[in-house]
Amino acid sequence: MSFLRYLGTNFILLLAISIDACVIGILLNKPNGVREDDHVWLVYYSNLLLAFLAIIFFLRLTYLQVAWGRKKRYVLAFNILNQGFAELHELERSESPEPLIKFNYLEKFSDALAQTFSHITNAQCSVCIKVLSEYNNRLEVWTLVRDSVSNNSRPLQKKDKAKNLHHWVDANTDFITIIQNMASAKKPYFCCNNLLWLNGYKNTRIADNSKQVSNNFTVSQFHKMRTWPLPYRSSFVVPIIPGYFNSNRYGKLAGFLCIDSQQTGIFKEKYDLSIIQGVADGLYNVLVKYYDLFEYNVH
Amino acid sequence: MTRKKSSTTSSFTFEKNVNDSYYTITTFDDQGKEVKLQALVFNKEMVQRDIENKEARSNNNELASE
Repeated sequence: MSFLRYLGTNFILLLAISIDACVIGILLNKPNGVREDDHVWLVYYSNLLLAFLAIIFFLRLTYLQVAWGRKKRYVLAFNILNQGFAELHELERSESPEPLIKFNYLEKFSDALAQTFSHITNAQCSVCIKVLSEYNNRLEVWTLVRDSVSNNSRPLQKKDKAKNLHHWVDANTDFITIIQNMASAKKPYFCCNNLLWLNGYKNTRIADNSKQVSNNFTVSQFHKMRTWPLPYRSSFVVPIIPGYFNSNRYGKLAGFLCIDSQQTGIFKEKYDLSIIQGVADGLYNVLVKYYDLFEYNVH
Repeated sequence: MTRKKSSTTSSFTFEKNVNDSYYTITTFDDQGKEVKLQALVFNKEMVQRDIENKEARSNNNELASE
């Protein structure tokens, strides 16, 4: 249907251009009964109309390129995503008691997911799997696995360890939003295409959270843009839970799947959410198996 | 019986289940009704030790291949 509509409007445009070209052609032959002045003006107006139609045609093609280009990339991205799922399924089938092998599979899976979203969004994306821990009677979140590109470019965990920095669940907007949405039976996810503009955004990596409250485009906003401390500006976080999660009966929160990028405005919630949630559902069984198999649980 | 723990600054509390290895996070929904969520809480030291072993081993493998 969309294709027919696309074909129809383009056909009308082509028809208009053809008629215009015919008029110009006829006028250039100076038919009898047309005065010299009228002839010049008619050619002038016809050319103007032709230029106007060319602009409309160009704008429409640009729009289609933007609107359909991303949809086309979604189709191609499934090839890469399948590679990631192959790693995940291999990990589920693996009976090796060696944790090293499990981490390698998870890393390859994160690589494939990062490539998938880099392809979809046309921007470099990073992926990490975060899990919960307890420290001093407080829940914290830390990175279990990260894709290899960002693992090399962001040696954050070593810095965190050196600074004794803990990422508390209740001090990070994304994680606390997700837990509250899970409790309220809302769609549990956090998506922000420009964290600089998110009012009251809290992140333990930002030293002074009180500075991150202004939503007005002021001097402080420029200052924030210049001094933004995080290696990402767009962020998409989903909980690692089963697809049919129900807080009363079924499913546990196994961790968080985070995708982020330095570029802003790259995520389309309408399409990306279902992909990321599907991936998180796939990860859920693996993490639960991990948790029990290697006794990573807190005794 | 559960060991009660509280998160210091947040709108939720959490506790470790005695019967299994999971935790229960207690929070509130839109209507203020109490909701309990089950969660996996990992032993960070134990996992990080495995990660460090893995990194050390892959570094050794790289050196050996050179």
